[in-house]
Amino acid sequence: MRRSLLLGGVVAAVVFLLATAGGDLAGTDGQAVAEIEERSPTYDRWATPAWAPDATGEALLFALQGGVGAVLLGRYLDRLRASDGDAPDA
Amino acid sequence: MHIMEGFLPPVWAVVWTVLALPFVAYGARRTLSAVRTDPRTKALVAVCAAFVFVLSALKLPSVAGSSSHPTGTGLIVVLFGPAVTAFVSVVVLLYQALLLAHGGVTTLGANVLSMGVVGPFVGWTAYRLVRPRLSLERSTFVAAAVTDWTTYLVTSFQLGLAFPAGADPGGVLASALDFAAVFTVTQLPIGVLEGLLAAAMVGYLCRLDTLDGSRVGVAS
Repeated sequence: MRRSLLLGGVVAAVVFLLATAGGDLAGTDGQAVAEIEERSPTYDRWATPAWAPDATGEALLFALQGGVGAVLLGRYLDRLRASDGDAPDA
Repeated sequence: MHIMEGFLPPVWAVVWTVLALPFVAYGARRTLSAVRTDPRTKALVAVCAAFVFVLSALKLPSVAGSSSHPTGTGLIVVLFGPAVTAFVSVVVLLYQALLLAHGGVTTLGANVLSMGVVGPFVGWTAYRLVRPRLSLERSTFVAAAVTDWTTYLVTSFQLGLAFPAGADPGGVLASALDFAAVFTVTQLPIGVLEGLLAAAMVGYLCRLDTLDGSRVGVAS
């Protein structure tokens, strides 16, 4: 369990660094939107997200996603390492 | 490959959602029955889902000055097939749409269809084709790379259909190619990286003796 949390922390840190380091790089999702706007300038965006985080919040939520995923990954790999796949300490 | 909220005309939003629904429903059933069979399979499904969660959070910069991320679906495609992948993708895409404003609710159907249905199905087909000739790891590499690239091609096609360069089928194709060009530079190397990570994970699971080689890929 401790190892899984450590793995989660490391992954979360890496994801956070990547998300902030890549902050000034245009994401391809955004580039696709730019392409749409160039192609159809009159297109009316008919829905917007109810809530959107700022850049730091976004990086943190990405880190949360990666960290939670890594903790679960470590936990269940521990279970698989145990013979019956259902280790009590996992 | 997330089509952002509101950037598909309503008619296409509905079309892709209706098309994606049966796959997701079937996938949910397959996932539940897989989880119920035995604790090992349950743990394997969890590992696959967590793998998708981690990989799709990696925002990777590219030499072209843009950034994108892996889909992470290759591993689950190989171990459980496209149906389970469809269900897991919905969970990840909902998280990103609601909390990160990546993708959206109106474009969820289109995004699920590319990342959770068509990409994985083509990757799974590629896996079945190469598996008789290649090792498990190499076949997994092929499956994951093909799944990733196909996902982005489907997105390009969906955008081409919604925003064609002309009224004829040629206009759709031309537009789809333009959108594909946006993704290509970033996604080609990411697909290779995904292939390597998925292959390493499958190799590791094999060494843990959790995978019965004969069962891999036929679990779905």
